[in-house]
Amino acid sequence: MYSKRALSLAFILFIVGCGATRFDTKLPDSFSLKEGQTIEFLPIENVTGKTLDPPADRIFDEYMGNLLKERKLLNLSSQPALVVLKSKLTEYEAGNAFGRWLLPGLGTTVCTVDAELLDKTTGALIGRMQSRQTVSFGGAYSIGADNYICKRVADDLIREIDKKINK
Amino acid sequence: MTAQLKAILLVMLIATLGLWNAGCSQTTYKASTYRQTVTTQIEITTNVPAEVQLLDRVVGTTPVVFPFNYEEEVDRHVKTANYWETNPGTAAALTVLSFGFYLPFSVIPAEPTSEARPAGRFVNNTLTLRLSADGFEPVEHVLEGKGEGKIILNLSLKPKGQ
Repeated sequence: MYSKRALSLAFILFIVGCGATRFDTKLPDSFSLKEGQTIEFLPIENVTGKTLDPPADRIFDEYMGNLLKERKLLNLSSQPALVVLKSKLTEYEAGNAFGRWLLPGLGTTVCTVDAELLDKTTGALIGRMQSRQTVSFGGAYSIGADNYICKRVADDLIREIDKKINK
Repeated sequence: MTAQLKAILLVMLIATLGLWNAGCSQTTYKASTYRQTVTTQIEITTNVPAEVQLLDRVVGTTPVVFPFNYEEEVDRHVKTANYWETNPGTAAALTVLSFGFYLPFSVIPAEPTSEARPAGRFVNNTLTLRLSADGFEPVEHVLEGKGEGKIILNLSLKPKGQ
């Protein structure tokens, strides 16, 4: 009886992946993006002090750039952008799925990005967003978290920007 | 309760307390420092309308409000925490689902946690203003931004020759 339950638990732990999100935003209510207004997206700055493997910064840049492009928010024209999105990769841990399977918390994959929205004309800070995503337990299902974790962070940021469109 | 079960529970309790103690003794350390943008609004009023100049540009004529941008250093502190500290709900669920087997292991500090704390150290936060008006002595004023939302300056220009 107990061995069956233990096996079921082991199986569940083997296949699932679980993590946490911490998101903090300080974008003023007065800020909004109207149709045609765009964002100048600066490449993310790696301030972790580490060499990234996989290149989480490049993964974030490519994914975030595409998210902005899909929404026609990425500044590609000669017209100046309304705001500048400046991001810093402040924390990145590649982690590993075996560690997560062995013990929750061990081998945790982490990505934290601190993003600022700046006024393009004056350089003044409009607001700040910080997202931290983790995958801290699970097994086979969580393989590849090191590649997608910073994409989840980008999803958090774009969700917040979406709230500011045409408000 | 059999003697064997009691012995197992005792061993688990000792292991839990030991590992808990090990978890509590984890120290936080500074992992990295980065900079974030700070903007302070500068509002200048004068006794006579005066042109406000920075080193590289003219800001406008008083009364004037303009943003002053500089940077603040942020220290990122990290420590490894146990799962009860980071995900108490999941840790409790796992303990119940595993009939207590997970409990002794749950207190092992395994998960990296981090906290960003503004260090109160500012970079490029000094601004030199030069105010001038026809018939008045120019005034130079140096200000230092320290994360304030707004700085209000009320300056007086004296007529030339006084």
